[in-house]
Amino acid sequence: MATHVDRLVTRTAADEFLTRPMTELMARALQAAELVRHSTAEVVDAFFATRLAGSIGAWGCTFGTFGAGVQQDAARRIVERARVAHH
Amino acid sequence: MNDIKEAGQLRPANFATHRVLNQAAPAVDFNAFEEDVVLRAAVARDAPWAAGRCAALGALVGNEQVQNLARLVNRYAPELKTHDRFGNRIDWVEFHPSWHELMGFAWRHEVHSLASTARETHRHYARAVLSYLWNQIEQGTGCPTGQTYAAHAGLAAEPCLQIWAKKAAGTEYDFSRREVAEKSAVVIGYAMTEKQGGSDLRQTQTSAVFSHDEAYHGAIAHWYELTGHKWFCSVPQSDGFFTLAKVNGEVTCFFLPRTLPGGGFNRFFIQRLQEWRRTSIAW
Repeated sequence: MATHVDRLVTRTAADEFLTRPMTELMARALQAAELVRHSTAEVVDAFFATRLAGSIGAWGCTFGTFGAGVQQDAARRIVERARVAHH
Repeated sequence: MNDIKEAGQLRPANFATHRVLNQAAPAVDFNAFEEDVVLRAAVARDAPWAAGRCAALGALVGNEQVQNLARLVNRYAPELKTHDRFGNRIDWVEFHPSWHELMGFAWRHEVHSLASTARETHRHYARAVLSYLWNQIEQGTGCPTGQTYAAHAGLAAEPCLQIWAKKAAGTEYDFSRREVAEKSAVVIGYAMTEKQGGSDLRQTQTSAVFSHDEAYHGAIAHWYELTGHKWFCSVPQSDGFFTLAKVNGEVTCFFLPRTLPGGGFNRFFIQRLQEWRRTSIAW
């Protein structure tokens, strides 16, 4: 991911058309760095399996689509961990 | 025939056609901080001193009455009052009382000010957590908290705006047109966007012409006259605005108090409120 960021930043310096994808990728790299530092291994694995630059298709375009890179039981635990209002 | 006959015999209890399945329960009576594993861990790690404040605000998120205030704010839209009943221009906004109740909560919980009133480490971080929680309550009121928070550093950096910095950190919400010195707290807004200059603020066409130097709350201020039309600004009822205008072709940032020393209103005219948003945005 860091390599992708480096490459896109360099290309964007020459072509401002790439500013938006560059900004998105930088934000995603920052998210990844925070997760690696503070989250669980399961969340980190799911993040990289779905959001990693170059792994297009691993993360569906429709809201709530996880892609085949994450097992159902892992997805269930991730959602349960994030749940706030318990009823 | 049978159907009609049976319909005539319906009692209220019989109107229930089926049991409603598969619907979420109302999200009430929970604490959005204490029950949020990730958020609680983040605060414990980086700003443990703020945990009590976060829990107090987190309880409001799950409070049914507060949730109802948020519903009312979005159901009953604010109204633009261009004139008072005597025909004087006032350019003010009227709200449903629930708006002010929510603003009072936000200000008391320091969603707008914790970063400048706290002395502990990571106080911007702690305020961001409050903001995250507040925005689960109501986002229209979230906007003025963020704006007022963001304004503090700029106000504190200017000798003549010290009083504004102090009042921007006030925790007793004060919806009034009084002069800054007479207010317990102020709300700060930003009037930046112009029709041709949204993302690209270099396209700002509003112009500023130097008027005079004059003392303002204990320091000399450089007064300018600004002429222009801003298009889209959040919270038009703010007490003071940061805005952009060109001086000799260069874009410069100005601070505009709505009410001037002596109580007169600055010349700031609201043309309309946004129609498709229930919170108050003017252009």
